[in-house]
Amino acid sequence: MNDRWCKSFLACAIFMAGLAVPALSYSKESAQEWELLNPEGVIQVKPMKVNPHPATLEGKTVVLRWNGKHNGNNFLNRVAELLAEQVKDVKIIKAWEAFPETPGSSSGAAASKDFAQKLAGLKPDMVIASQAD
Amino acid sequence: MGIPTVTTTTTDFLDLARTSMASVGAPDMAFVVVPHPMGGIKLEDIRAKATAAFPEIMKAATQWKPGTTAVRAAKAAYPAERFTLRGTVSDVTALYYGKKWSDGLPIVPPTPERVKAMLGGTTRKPDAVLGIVPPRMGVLTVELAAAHAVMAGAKPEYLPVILASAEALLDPRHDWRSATTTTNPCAPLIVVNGPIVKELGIQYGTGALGPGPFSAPNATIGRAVNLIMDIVGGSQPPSPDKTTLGTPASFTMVLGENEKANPWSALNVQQGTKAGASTVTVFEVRSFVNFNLHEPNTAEGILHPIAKNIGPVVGLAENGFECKPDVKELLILSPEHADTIFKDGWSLERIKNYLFETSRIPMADYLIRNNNKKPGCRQDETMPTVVAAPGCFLIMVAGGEGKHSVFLETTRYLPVTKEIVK
Repeated sequence: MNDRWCKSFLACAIFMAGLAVPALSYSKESAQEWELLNPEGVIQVKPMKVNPHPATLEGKTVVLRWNGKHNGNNFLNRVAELLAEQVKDVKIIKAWEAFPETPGSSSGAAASKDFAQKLAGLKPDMVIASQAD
Repeated sequence: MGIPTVTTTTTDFLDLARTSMASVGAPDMAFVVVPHPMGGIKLEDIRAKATAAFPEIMKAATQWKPGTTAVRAAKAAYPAERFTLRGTVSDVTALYYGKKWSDGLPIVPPTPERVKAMLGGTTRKPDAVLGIVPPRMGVLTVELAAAHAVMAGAKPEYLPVILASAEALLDPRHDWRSATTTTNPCAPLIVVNGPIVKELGIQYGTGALGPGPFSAPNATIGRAVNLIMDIVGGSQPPSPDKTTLGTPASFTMVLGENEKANPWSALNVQQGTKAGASTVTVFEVRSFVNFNLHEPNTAEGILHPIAKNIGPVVGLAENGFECKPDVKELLILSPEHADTIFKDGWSLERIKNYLFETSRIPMADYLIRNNNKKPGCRQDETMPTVVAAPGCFLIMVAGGEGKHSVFLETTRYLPVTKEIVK
């Protein structure tokens, strides 16, 4: 009786294992050695020398530069008021009033570069920019 | 230029600001962070933000000193770096996904063997540099483009179209940096003209812009270009790609022109290329407006509703009211609509003039949309045109049977046409 029970159990176990093996092989991918390319590519950026800032804005020319987005001018108008109140002899130029025909930076890289050249012509000691969005 | 600067940015755009500074070689520029948003809030609120930020602005203006962040030394762009991995295909996909080298879909692993096979699709040298992809400023070589073509599932014969598309997007006239970092839902549209359309099986008829059993060229060419933009250029949301909602067109948007059904000049000829040349023309697409016009059987019957909707889309929905004459908007006529319009005796010039004049919008509506700020041109007109000239419209023919034409609002990043070089 025990012997028959054992043989039945063994047969059943073998049968169940036979059912499971195909299922296991479907879910098991083969691991392999891969050689792959890094798709990022190297970066090419020329370092830019950034200029030292003045120790004070007293007596200096400050240009306020607006990128044309909503409220950027309102933000800078308030900055202009506070500069006038708190900084002695500061000269404030609002770029959008000096160059009303100039579009904001959203019109592209070339337009931004042209605008920068125009601002440089005002000979500012500092440019404060608003990138509103 | 030697001028010290302080830039204000909002909290939500801080990452983009840092990426932008790094991409111009100035990772340590002075900036001041303001709580988002600045736009779209009331006057008293923006003034309060300026008052709160002012001490930081003064500190940045007078106390800022350059940091010690080093700009990485340049490595050779070719050959592309290789690495090894032991695992399954699933492991490779998971790795590429985890490193943000994916658009969210599984990629084909770019093994050296597959990349070499892909390079067989072009006569161009693998170490040739196509350009520097913004905003990350990744160097794109022909070999690297081939790797992305493999990842996208493209065939080697598609590679010349991918290379031409990348070069067109990198053309300075297109301003790819702005298109990939904006809050707008910009997606590159690649229009293919010439004999190569049929040679490669690029779809131009029924269902051409959608998935289908024959859409492999359209799907994989566009996908490769978008992978280049996302990985080599680093332009992924949430930053530096700031697109508010995004668009499914960013996965792929490639369309052949149905030149046989176009009774006028093909798109690339309107762009100045000689007839019969195989070219790509790249646009940045935002709004996609379908015109379901079964009833009209005259040219004006078709074009009137189109023009009447172009005005509000360009001038009110999008910030597309444009002063510059070189900006282009794209109308894709179905073959049946094109046939009706042509048989009514309308030339391409007449169509463009009609669209230009009939798409005018009331300045009063524009002022509501623009907080009473007048546009930079045509300010004194009560019904201004939304584009600068009739030539700002490009007309092409695509699609199969049916009476649906599509207007694509295509931003101010200029379309660029490049000849495909095998």
